[in-house]
Amino acid sequence: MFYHKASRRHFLIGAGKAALALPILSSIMPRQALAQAVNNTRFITFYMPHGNISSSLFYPSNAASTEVTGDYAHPFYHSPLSLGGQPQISRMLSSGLNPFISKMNIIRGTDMPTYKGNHGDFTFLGQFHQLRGKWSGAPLRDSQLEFPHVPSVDQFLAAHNKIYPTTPSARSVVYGAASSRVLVNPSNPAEGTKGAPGQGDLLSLWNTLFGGDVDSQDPQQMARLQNKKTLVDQVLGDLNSIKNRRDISTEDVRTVESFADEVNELQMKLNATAAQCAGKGTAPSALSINGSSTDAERTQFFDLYTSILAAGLKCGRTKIATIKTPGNQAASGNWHAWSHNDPHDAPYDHKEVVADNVSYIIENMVVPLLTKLDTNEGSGSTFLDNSVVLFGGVNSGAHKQYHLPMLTVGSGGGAFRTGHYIDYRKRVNGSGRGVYYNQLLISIMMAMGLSPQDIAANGNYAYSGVLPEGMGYSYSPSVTNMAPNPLPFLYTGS
Amino acid sequence: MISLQQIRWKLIIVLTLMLPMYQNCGQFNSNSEGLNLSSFGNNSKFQCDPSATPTVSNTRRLTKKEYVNTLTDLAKVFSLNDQQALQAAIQSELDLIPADSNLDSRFSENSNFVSQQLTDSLVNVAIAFSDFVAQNNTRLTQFIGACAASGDVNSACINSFSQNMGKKIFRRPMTPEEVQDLNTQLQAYTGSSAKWLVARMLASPQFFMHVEDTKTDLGGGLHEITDHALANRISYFLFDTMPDDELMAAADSGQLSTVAGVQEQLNRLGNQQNHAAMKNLMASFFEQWLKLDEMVLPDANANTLMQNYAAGDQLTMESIKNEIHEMIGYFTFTNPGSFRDLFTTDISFAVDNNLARIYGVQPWNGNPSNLVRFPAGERAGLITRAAFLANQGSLTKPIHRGIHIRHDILCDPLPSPPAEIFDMRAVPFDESLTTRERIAHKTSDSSCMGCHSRINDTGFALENYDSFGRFRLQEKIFDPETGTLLQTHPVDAHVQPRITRETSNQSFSSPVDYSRAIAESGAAEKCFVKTFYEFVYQRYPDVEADGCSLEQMRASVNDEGGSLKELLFRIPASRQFRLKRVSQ
Repeated sequence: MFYHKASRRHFLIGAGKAALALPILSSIMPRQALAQAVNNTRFITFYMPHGNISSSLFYPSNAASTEVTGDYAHPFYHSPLSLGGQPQISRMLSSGLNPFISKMNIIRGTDMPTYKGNHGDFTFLGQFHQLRGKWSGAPLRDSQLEFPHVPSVDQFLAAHNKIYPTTPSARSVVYGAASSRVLVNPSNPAEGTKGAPGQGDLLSLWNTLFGGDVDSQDPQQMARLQNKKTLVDQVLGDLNSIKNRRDISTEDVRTVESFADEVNELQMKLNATAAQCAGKGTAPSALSINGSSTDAERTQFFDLYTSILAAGLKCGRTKIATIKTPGNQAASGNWHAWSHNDPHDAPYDHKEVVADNVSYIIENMVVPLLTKLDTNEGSGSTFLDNSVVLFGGVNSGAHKQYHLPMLTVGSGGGAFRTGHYIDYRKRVNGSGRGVYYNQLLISIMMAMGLSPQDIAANGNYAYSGVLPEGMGYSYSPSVTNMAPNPLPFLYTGS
Repeated sequence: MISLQQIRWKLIIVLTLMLPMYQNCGQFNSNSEGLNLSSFGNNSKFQCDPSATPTVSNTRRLTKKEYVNTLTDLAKVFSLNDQQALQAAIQSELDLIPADSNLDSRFSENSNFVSQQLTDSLVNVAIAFSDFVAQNNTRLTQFIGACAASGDVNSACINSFSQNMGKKIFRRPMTPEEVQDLNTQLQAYTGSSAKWLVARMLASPQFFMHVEDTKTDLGGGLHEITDHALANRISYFLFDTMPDDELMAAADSGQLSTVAGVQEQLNRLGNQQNHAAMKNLMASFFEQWLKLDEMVLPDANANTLMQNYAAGDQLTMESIKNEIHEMIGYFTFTNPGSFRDLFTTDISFAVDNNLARIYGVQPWNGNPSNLVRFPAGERAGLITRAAFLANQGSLTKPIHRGIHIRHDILCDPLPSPPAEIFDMRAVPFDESLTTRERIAHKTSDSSCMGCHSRINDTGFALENYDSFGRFRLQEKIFDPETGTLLQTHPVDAHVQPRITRETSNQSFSSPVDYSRAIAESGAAEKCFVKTFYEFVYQRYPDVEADGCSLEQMRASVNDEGGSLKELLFRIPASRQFRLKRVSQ
């Protein structure tokens, strides 16, 4: 299905920009058109730490069969997704996903641009600097071939003014920072990245999304808000004074600027008047997964977490959620440890254990969120339709960073074709290499409303996929040349 | 038949092919300061160049621990009941301050992470605190002064506040300009000006950051910090909170401008009633250095295999941490010990039955005159204790142990596995082989051995301990599915681990000898000092620029009269501790 595909894009290019530039026009614009003025696609990721996913347990048993040829890296294949008489798509993709088959894609054959070995968490969202080295703190062997430091895709989107023309309650929410990264010093990316701050418990999540809500009809609340604005203004003034002191180093200035940026963001949030959000409920306790010791408690945590997140996404309090699935606390053992042991010391194969954990997370965390988002947003589409949910990991087996197991749900407002099993591997001599994983990230960024220029303008090949010679696996030029493009067949939204 | 000539050529070809692998691991070392000065250096001292400009720590925010402790100290102006009431009133806001983490640093104490949630929370805590103070006249009087009892403050009231609680909040005397700004800024608020005075002060970066003033330009971009800034550094380093009244008074009087004056205050602060706080500081360092929070312990009840393997033993993180706390407390205060003692002591500090049983000893009752010793020849120091040895499952992890020693004990990190290895599968289970044999076989390929020649023996040396940390001479092999004992093999712990280049010919058959050799290598001592430097100064040292400080720290903890206690108290008295870098 496709949802207001052409009108959304055209509106962005034309009338949308005009409407943003001339807000007075908004009063005479139809409500639907206003809604389309800003791309409201949401981006939610579920990252499986380590991955170590057995392909035989993740993908459908029947191979994708319809060949697609054209001006692509190489021919690839797809098939409509169906249960084919089975109770579930695959051993890992369990039955809770069945109602969403028409909105899903299972993607096979996207590859990391080069080898990492393991512990490549950051690469899931495009921080490819982690590739080639940095294991055990060791320096790179070929420093001249280092990938650049960039924020992860979710944080790149979160900071982009096309994604958020006005300051939202939260640019992103992050659960477990594994793959979500921000630059240590935005003015000097060479200094590296650090994990994006997140919300590890329910109260933090709720407060981030709804904690600043004020009832504009209550004079006391409004007076208090005004005083808070004054206080924040003065704190910002303090920080600027410190920044301008003479007895302060360049590094210290950066620390102060970090605070000033956040206080400035707080100031803008206080000045914005968020509409009330009916689904937000009341502030929960500060329950975290670590405080949940039984399956029932964990299930309750997942239910509350996904309820709060869904309300925040639906009410426009954020568009981006990055979740590291909490494998360590999952039902049947220590996912991280089993995955990690597999290539090293463990005496036997744990792929079934990993499969149990993948299914557990799908049933308890992914499906509940999908269900809560799959409600009407208007124009015949649901909030889920107008989202891209990405579920995956960066190891398709022990120390294998190609043919990454990926699942998407939602069409990104019509930008993605859905309901397919797409296999991008080159079929030669069995199963050959696929296409660059970057292309999936580019597809998502474009579904979120960024243009190729927006992505390329960041000046890095981590997102655009243009790899300097010698950096990656040995791929043919036909693959390399396609790297800056969105994935064919999947992405239709231009 | 292959001729000798053919064998020779094959050998040359094989060695030539392997050379890049060895060069890879070797090349790294030659490019790092680790080669020359640490892991492979024969110089057991750091080189001190007095003319070098040392690196210094940056301005940072208060960590959550520091922030909460400081608020708690400020609240001591209230009655005990009100202190509890205050905690209840602001706890929900405090909970939202992100926990100190090592996301941006190796030690959570150095966390300087700034986020939207943190900023929101700091402002909200300040407001919640002010709400509490403004609830009654008594609290207003106690916190601001009698002049604020009405709920409003005038210029005189602000002035007197600035000399009392205001000075405590900023942890230094407030400047006249700051007092004047308060007078002006309070006009912008509606409602109780006393309440907003409290919020304004507690939301100030001068409160939630370590903003340090300087007094002397030393050239080269270095400045000496003021005595009040030094008082803050001392107090937050040792106690994670604001200076006490005596330390502030010492700063007021200029006592801290002299080395003798600083030493006098350190002697006072080092009294026994403060040992618990400082023990926590040291324990925090050791827990993070040893990466205890990353450990996954064997679960004795996981399945039949683990039940059979555990044979009634249990291991908890609490018991592991308790032992480390006791050990550090003993060697810091009870019987100050050197770095060498940490790696050679045969004293068990296991205070609970479970860990003591794993060690085969009685639990220690905490009495220094009633120490418990390990069975002779079984254990020596940190790396032979559960805190270093334990791992999930019924098999040891020699590779992880080896990397842990290389990376964290010797500061000798290793590069990634070579890119040519795409598909490392699990080490195949074979009941006829020991863990060592299986791993040795798995990593025997030349593409692995470049690095694994430095990893494997470093870890195999500890094969006398199983995944609970129990001493063993035999390795029991259980059926992974049924848990049945299949085989028992003698443990081979004979190794040639190349601790340093100079000692590369050393071989060991005893983990006690191995641990002692690590202690005496010089590399581990220097690695420890560099790591502790990072803990104190929030940055990894530059061995050339910071050589003098490092050498002073090394000398304070080495075996020739040094101790952990010396290390702890010599740092705040050092020259580097009172330096700050400014823009040039």
